[in-house]
Order: sequence, then C-alpha cells, then structure tokens
Amino acid sequence: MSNIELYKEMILKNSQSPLNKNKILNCTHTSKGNNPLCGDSVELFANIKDKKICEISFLGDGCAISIASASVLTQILKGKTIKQSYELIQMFNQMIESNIPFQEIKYLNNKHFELIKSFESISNFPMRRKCATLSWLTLDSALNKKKNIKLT
Amino acid sequence: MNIKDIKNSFPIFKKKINGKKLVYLDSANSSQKPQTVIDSLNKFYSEDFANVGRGIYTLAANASEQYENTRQELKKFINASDKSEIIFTKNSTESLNLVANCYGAKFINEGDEIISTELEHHANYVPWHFLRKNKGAIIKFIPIDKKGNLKLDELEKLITNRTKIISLTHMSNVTGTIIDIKKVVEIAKKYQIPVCVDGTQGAAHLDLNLKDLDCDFYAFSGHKMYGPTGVGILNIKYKWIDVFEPYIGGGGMIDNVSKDNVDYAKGAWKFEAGTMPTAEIIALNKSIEFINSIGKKNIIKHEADLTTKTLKELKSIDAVELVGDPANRGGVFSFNIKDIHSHDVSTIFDSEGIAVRGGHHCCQILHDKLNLNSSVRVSFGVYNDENDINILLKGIEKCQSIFKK
Repeated sequence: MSNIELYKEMILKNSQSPLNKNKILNCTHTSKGNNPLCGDSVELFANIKDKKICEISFLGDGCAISIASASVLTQILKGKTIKQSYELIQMFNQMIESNIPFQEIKYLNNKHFELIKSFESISNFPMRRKCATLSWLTLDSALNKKKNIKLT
Repeated sequence: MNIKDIKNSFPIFKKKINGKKLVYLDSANSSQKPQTVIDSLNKFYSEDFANVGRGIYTLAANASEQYENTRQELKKFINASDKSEIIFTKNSTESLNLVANCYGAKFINEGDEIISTELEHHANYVPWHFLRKNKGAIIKFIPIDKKGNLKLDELEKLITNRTKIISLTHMSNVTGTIIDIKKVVEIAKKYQIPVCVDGTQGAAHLDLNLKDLDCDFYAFSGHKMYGPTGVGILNIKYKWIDVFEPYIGGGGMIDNVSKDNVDYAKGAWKFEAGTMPTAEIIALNKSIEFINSIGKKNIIKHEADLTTKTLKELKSIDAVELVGDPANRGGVFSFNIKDIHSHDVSTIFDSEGIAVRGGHHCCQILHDKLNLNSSVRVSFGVYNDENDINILLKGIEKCQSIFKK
C-alpha cells in the first residue's frame, strides 16, 4: 500500500479545517496528551452531565493524522454516554492495531462510519499509529480525571 | 571524484524503497555503510574472531592487534596527540556522559556553572542536566540569532568565577551551524576553563585537527562516519585520564586487583571495561580507510556544493520556510513546508523513496527558541548527488499537491 493512501480526503479535510478545535472554559473533564517522540500534542475538553458527554472539543498541534483524528473524535463522541465512550476508545484503538475492521465499531451512524473508515488503513503504518490514537487515549485519561498522558 | 562509483560501493543503494530508488538524506542521523565495512564485520566473525586483550593464542593476539590498529588510525584521522587519549565507548552520547559524569563528580558542586548553547542535541544537554538535578549546578546557554548563528560574543559575558566547563557542539544537527571551536578554546583558556566538544556531526563532515583545536574533550561516533553502530569515541587530554575516576569498572580496565585494593589501567584503557564491540571497532578502521581514500577535503567540498545548490532551490519556493540560515555551515539543514507537518512530509517523501527525518531531531531547546514544533531535516553524505536534490524537490511538490486546499 502506498504511503499517500494515508492522506484520504476525509483526513485532509479534518486536518485542514478541523471541527470543535477550541477550548471549553470551566469544563468538567480535561486532559493533555503528547507524543514526546514526534512532538504531537493535544488537549481535550469535555462537559459531562448525567453521565453523558454534552460538549467536547480539543486544541492541538501536530501532524494531519493527529489533528484529523481529534476532530473526528469530537464529532463522534458528542452525545455518547461515558460507558459508550470507553467502548469507542477501545474499539478505535483495536481498529488502529488492525484487530477489528471499522464495520465492527458500535454506536456509529452512517456519517460517523464515513469519518472513521478513513483511519482504518493507518493500521498498515506502524510509525503513524500513535498519531491517530493520541487524542483517543487523551480522552480516556480525561474521563479518568488524569491530567497528563505521554505515549511512549 | 566519481560519485556514481561511490554510490556503487554502498550496497543499500541497490535496494528499492516503495518501488523507488533510495534517496538517503538522513546521514546526520546515521550514515549508510560501504561494502568494505560490511565485509570487515563478516570477515572478523568468520575468520579472525577472538576476544581482545585477554588470550595469548594466535587469534587473540591478531584480534588485539586489529583492535588497536583502529585506535592508531583514529589518532591520525583526527590528528590527536596520542593514541592513549582515544577512548572507545558505545556512542557519542556515552562519550559525553562519561565527561559529564567523571568531570562532574570531581569538579562540579552546588552553584557551579556549566556553559552550553541553544543549539545542542539532547546528548549534550541531558548529561549536564543530571548535574543540575543531582548537585545543584547551573546551566547557562550561549544564545543563537534567528539565522541559527551562535552569538559567540556573549560567551565571555556568561563566564564567572563559578564557570567549571564549556560544553558545546562542533556542528548543529539541525541548522548545520559550525561553531568556531578554536575561538571558544582561546577564550576558555584565558579563564582556565576546560572545553568539551560534541563532534558527532563534525567527525565525518569537517576537517579535524584535534591538536590544533586543542579542546579538552572531543566526542564522536563511528556510525555517522560510514562505520558500524556500537562504537563511540572520546578524545581526551591525558591530564584528565589521570584525574578522573573510572566511568565503569570490570575486566580490562585494571592493572592489579587484590582483596583490599584495585589499581586501574593507564591511559584510555582505564575507561574500557568488559568486552568491547570488537568487530565494530575493527570495521571502523575500514570506514576511516574509505573516507581517506576519497579525501576529507573532497567530501567537504562535495557536500558543500550540494548544500548550496539545494538551499538556492528551496529559497525560491514560497511555501518553504528554512530553520535558520547560518553563515558558516555544513551539509545539514532543516525546513518546513507551510501548513504541512514535518511527519506528513516525511511520510509523503517516503512514498518517493526519500529518507529524511521529521520531528525535533533531539533538539527541543532549539525548536522552542525558534518557535517551532518540528521540522524536516535534510543531511548529505558522500553518496548523495544532484539527482537526489531533484527528487527531493519533486517530493516537496508532491506534498503541496496532496495538501492543497
């Protein structure tokens, strides 16, 4: 597979014009993540009420894959319960580790499937997997009320 | 010098990367290896293998002789004063750790100052940071300007009666800036401060004359000068060998051992405990031979020509932002393509067979200073040619076309 297949339209669009790239002031959950090896960094903000994510956003500096992934995360996770969020984080990671196909990811509507399937091929590029998972693991630590994570 | 013949002596260039010819532009990270170096490793293990410095049988004696031959050739290669001042280590990083550790243990205490620069690789920062953390030392940095030139005029202003050592790079692995080490040593001598030089980039790409530079410590590695991995070198003025305690202890570094005392070996051998990377040290001799056969001056000119040509092209591309543009430079430079992250550039380059490094290249202080998150680095070796530059330029066009909005 050619490397440039990583740069699907959906990924380019979400990296060049990411959605929900802003800071939520006084949010209930937040965490920072970074990948010391490549310098990608992301900060997740979420407002959780009645065990549901009602608002979610991010700030970040990094490659196209990491920014697009954070943008897609915020679009998919908004409105999900905490339990569903944990499951989605786990399933996204499994997809990136090429353990499950994107079709097996639960709780997605058609638009979400379109968003998430562009990331499936990243499993073929081990050097770039962490770019895709950084924001998802940062959300996990925000839900767990941890302040910082580092991917190693 | 016929570049095509040189490329042919490196078997890796026969390999296709993603169906493309390999355009290797990451020699500042590590250089590729000529066939003679690879053959030497194979020959030593197939025909000559024995541990060195221990047995007196034929194989052991021959192995020891070959091992010491490399030290002798290194002495000539860098014009060192004596081969007993050439210590083998694992890599440049270990060479620098040895200096920071052994010098720091004896001479650096709370409030003492270490002078470094904003250009340093983490290998010449973290070992000094240990002394800051563990002993309360202070690290001061000679600043750079926007073009990546070191403001050497600031050095004397930073020196106080607490300054214990100046440790700095010979050539930046990001901007290619070459530091005038002779001038640094001249200033340091006025205040009797020792100078430690990270010569990791300098060894393969600059004309080295250690007697002339006259610094106290010069650290470099074999794998960046077309030699095997696993070998670092530290050239050290003899007076420090006697003053320093050993860095690690064990077999090979001793003179005499009894139940109540240990006498250490004299000279460089005091710092070489245990079985060393013998095959690699012996093969390093072949990489010195390789460099000498082309001539260091020819290599320097070849890399300088390629650098000048490439920089001229890059400066004509609006979207390319160079990371510094120092006046005195070697064949390393870094850049960003506007709105495209260095890792995306590296990945797209890879699809064209181009190997570059994206990221901060172990120089976060420098990137912070220049307000950058990361950059793409190009570094030349003796095997690069103009065709490599053309493919690099096409790679930049490809990044722009994929990321066009």
